[in-house]
Amino acid sequence: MTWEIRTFGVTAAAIAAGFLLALLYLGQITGVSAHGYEMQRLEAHRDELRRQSALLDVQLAKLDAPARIEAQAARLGLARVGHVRVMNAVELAARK
Amino acid sequence: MPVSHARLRVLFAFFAIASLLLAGKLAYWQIAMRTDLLGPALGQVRSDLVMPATRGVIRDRNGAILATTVGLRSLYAIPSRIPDKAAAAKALGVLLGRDPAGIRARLESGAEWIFIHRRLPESAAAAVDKLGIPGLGFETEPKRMYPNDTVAAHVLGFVNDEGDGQYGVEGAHDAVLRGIPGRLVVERDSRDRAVPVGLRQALPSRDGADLTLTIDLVVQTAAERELRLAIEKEKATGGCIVVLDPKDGAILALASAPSFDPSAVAVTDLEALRDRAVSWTYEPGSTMKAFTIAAALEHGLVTPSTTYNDVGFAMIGGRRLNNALGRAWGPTTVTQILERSANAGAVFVGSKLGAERLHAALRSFGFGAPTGADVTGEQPGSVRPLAEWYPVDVGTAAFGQGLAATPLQLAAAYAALANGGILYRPYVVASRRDADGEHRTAPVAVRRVVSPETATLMRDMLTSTIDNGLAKNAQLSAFSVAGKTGTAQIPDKSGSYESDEYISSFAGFAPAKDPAFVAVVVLERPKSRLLGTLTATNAFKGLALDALRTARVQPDRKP
Repeated sequence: MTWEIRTFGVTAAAIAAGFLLALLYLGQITGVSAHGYEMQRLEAHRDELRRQSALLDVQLAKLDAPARIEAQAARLGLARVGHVRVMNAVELAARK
Repeated sequence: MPVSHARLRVLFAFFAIASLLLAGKLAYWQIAMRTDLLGPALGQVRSDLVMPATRGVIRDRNGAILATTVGLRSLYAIPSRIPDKAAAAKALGVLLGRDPAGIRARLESGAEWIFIHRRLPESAAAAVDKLGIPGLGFETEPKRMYPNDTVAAHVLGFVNDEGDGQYGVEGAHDAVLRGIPGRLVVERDSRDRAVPVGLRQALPSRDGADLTLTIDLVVQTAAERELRLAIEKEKATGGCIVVLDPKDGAILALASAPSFDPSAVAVTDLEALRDRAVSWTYEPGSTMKAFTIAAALEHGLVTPSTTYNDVGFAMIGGRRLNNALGRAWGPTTVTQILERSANAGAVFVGSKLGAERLHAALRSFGFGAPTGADVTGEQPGSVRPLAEWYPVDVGTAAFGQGLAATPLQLAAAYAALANGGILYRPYVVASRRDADGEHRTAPVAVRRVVSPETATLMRDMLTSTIDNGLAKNAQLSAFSVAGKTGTAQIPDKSGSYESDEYISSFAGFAPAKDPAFVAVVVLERPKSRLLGTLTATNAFKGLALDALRTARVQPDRKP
């Protein structure tokens, strides 16, 4: 094997190795980048779900508001109870 | 044709020198000029963002949301990208309920980027999104929301456009609610997305602490309902209701009228922002007789059955102080002083106490100094220094004239009678939850103001006031009630009193033996004049039914 061929072979191998390494590096970088963008998309989705959840919490609080329930009850013609009868457990047991 | 070695050498030398020159130039730009180039280059791709902290949530004692911050979508436009501005304006006008001509004028103003509508309701934002008009986009902006609308407005306060808490809990606890903003430095690509493998420096924001209040939303709603009904009936200029837990001073409800909408403060009358329960003082009148009598009992100067002969007035310091309507009651016990609300009787007891002991008792019950409650704008009220008292002041102070108190002070003092004699500092924040966990507020017992025996006697006498006295309409069918009405005159600028204008009030608690709550109801300038106390006691009664039902208190009387 002549000196020129050996030199050409080593150089070609070095270039091919460098190319492969660069390809690998680019592949990794692209992969990281793609995953990063996916992560950002998921983060944005998470934030939107949290926002929607907070909006639902507010809506729930509005529906649960005693003032709204009272107004609805009044609209339905319901009247407030003047006296709530409480059953005393001790007295009930004594009667039995 | 063979290439001469000389030519090859020249060619090599040329490329070598060219390479060296290029390398040198590259090194110059990369090393020597690095800083000069890096700055502008990064400036084009780097964004330095403030990461806003989310303001803490405020809840009532049962976890109901009273105030929270939610991101709402704001609609913006890049007019140059909108193909048909007239059609876009027309469609947006319909969805947003706005004049299309106004929207179109904005789109054609020549601006590169404009907000069309900030903080849209979610349904409207979704409808606009569906239109799919190019050049329109959304940006999320925080909005402080109050799901119960105007309920507890004075307790909560509000947040202004700059995000600063004002008035109420929002103002008093702004530092812990607002949190600490963070910072994010990232490189962005051509589509304005953060480059995942680029520069990224982040200082995370620290969200504001969540607060749980002592307020009970059901009791608060009942207090506001009763206050509104009372004011409507009496056409009163204002009023307030304070409800405390006598066992520890926790504020269960605090209603004040006129009120405001925390979401629309810009259109609110300034007077409506004043919390009458803490930032307004008045002469409490006959509700103060309880403290005069408590002090005399404590010093052993009278007993509930000590009797004097009521002739309709009392002379003190050369002045004649009359009973209401000048009525003479004849032989009257100390218990009956409360039942009949006899001014002459209060003067009789006050005279036995003397100025020094009466003054000390009033100060001990907390009058003339702020309660120290964790609310904004609390007024101290006024009890003039003893050195400034004239002899007649013993008489007037004994039935609540010549001094000024806030409704919160009066409620705290009544709570001391209700709980066995200990004055507690009222408080509204029950706990704070942040990244370090939950921090509960410890109730503060300020001092013992009367002995448990005196407190028991006072509870019985105030119960008799409701059962046998002038305030019978405060009775509840299944619960004992203790309390006292008050009708106070209103001082005018000349130092005298306005004619025929009053402040009507009622202070009481239930059940009398083991009180679940103390409430003070105050109505300012009721149109029924002296009968305003009837409306105040009715308001107390309506509130008491809800408060006792919510607290699941067992009846202590047969209905």
